[in-house]
Amino acid sequence: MRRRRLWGSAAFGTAAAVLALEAATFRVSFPTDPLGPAAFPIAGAALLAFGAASLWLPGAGEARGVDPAGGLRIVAAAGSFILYAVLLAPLGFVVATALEFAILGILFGGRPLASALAGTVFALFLFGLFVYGLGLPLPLGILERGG
Amino acid sequence: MTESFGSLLAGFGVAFRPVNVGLAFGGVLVGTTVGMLPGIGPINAIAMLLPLLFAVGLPPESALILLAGIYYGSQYGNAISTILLNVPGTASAVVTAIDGHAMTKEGRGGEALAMSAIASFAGGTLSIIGLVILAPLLSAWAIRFGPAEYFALMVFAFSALSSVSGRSVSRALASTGFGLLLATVGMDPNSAVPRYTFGQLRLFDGIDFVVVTIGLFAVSEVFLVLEKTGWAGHAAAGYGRVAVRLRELSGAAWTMVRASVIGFFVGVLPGAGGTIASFLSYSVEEKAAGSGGRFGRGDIRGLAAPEAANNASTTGAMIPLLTLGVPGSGTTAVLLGALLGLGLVPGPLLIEQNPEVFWGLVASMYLGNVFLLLLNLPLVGLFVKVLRLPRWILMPGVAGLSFVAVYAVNQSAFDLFLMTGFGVVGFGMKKARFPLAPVILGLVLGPLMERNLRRALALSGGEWGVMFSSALAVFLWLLAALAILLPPVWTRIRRRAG
Repeated sequence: MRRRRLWGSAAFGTAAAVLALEAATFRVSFPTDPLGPAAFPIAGAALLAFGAASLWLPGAGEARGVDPAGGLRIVAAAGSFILYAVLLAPLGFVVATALEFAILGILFGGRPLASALAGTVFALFLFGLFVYGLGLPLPLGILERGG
Repeated sequence: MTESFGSLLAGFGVAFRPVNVGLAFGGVLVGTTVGMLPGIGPINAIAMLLPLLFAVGLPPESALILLAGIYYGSQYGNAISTILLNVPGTASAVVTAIDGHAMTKEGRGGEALAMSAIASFAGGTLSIIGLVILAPLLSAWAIRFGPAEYFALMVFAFSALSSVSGRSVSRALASTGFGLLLATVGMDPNSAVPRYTFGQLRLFDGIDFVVVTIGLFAVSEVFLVLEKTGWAGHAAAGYGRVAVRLRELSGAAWTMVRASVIGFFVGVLPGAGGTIASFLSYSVEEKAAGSGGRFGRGDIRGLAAPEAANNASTTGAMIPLLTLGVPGSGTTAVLLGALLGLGLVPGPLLIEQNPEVFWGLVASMYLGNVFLLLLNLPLVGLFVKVLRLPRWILMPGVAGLSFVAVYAVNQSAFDLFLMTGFGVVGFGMKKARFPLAPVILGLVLGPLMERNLRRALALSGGEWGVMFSSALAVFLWLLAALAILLPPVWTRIRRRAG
């Protein structure tokens, strides 16, 4: 328990220190702006540092741990989100979204074929709704060149 | 005051145009569907649908009506999943869950759903009278606010939110700091110095609050559900006929009136909002009922009180938002972002310079309430069908909708990276019990706060005394200090007493 607190405090403290140091480089002097661009970020970093210190106050309560298998699924899901962001432009909205939906569906315990099918339907529905219904452009990707 | 009611009538004239009625209908429908998704409350529903709202390019008054529909719809959607499945998407819905879900277990789910809609409607209706009376008064008074007073008011909003959003004030302050830091990302408008952009051109315009909100709230929720294995979906219970008997309704009439009054006045205070309103009205009703009540075991008054209070506090919270331009909660912060996105600047001048917008907004909020009642009672069955979809369809659907909304903000895949990052951060914050609402409030209020602070100091030539130079400013600083210091002192006194 103590270790978890230590990690939390260290992470917070480091983040606050890095952000405050970075803020110290925001320098510019105008007579009309006595405060300058650095003061506000430094105040924000100070609040963060206060949060880091407060984890050691009595009665701060404990953080809840992450279930290992669940943690793995979360890493997989976050990874698939990154993959989606990378593939969105080259593959196009429909293909990338169908793929992403299928991956998530499987992570959530759906059968692969059913997830893929649901993903395709969902992607086509959203594409139709946004591009034709709302006039919002979404990338076409490979469908553009292939079709 | 008669003038106010006249303006309100004109507002209704705008709201009742056929296009706008259609939009209110659509907004309630979509808002209810999204708000009902497990763990997704109004703050998510609005953030998810906002980019689409901007993309459609409606005139402001129509966009406002759609927004109001989405807002009220998502609140009711949240109540549906709370009552039937016991998965409250917001802190205030936790109170609704107590007797609401108990009623479902008794097979009276339909009655609970109907009561929730009626109580929300009652809360909305009664509180709007308060708004019509109070908003112009406060607005006339708010014109006296200078930069120093604004800054103090925003400090008060943060300290009030910090002292109510969970047990740990210091964690809430750390969350606030995080939000304020996020707000500084991008080009500083005063000096044109890039801050925290780390050489990334795409960060020069700052981080859009939609990206942050969806990442912190919706994506982290997907992760949270994903973590729990063996969570075998929800078996939505049967709920019977969606109606309330007249005897039950008249028995809860005074409950709804009292809860609406409590909710409205609590809602006006920054930071307090729906959660306190719900808890307070629930405990008042529990005491009033005495031994005759079945509170906690499915008493319909235990459901009517938080639902009416929550909706009334929503209207109350519109008062500081619209007259001062200072939101007091995560949800109103997102609403402020929406209004600014539509080119409307809430503040003391709004009601004077754009009365048609102000009263149009009030009228459309009310219309959203009316549609909620008319639509949801007959359509509840349809919504419940969506809830019964398996988790492997529902959660990827939430994720997919988040992707489109985030992508739509700037048409940029870079925002999807940011969203994923905020999703991971939000998950960690939820695990470590850091409240998320102060982050959004910090992000939205940060620029306003910094601008007012720098303006005040520029006017005084760098003399800090200007921050405390008026009685109003000193009063607001005192309130801010009290909001932070009072709760821990109070707990200690109570602990010592007994």
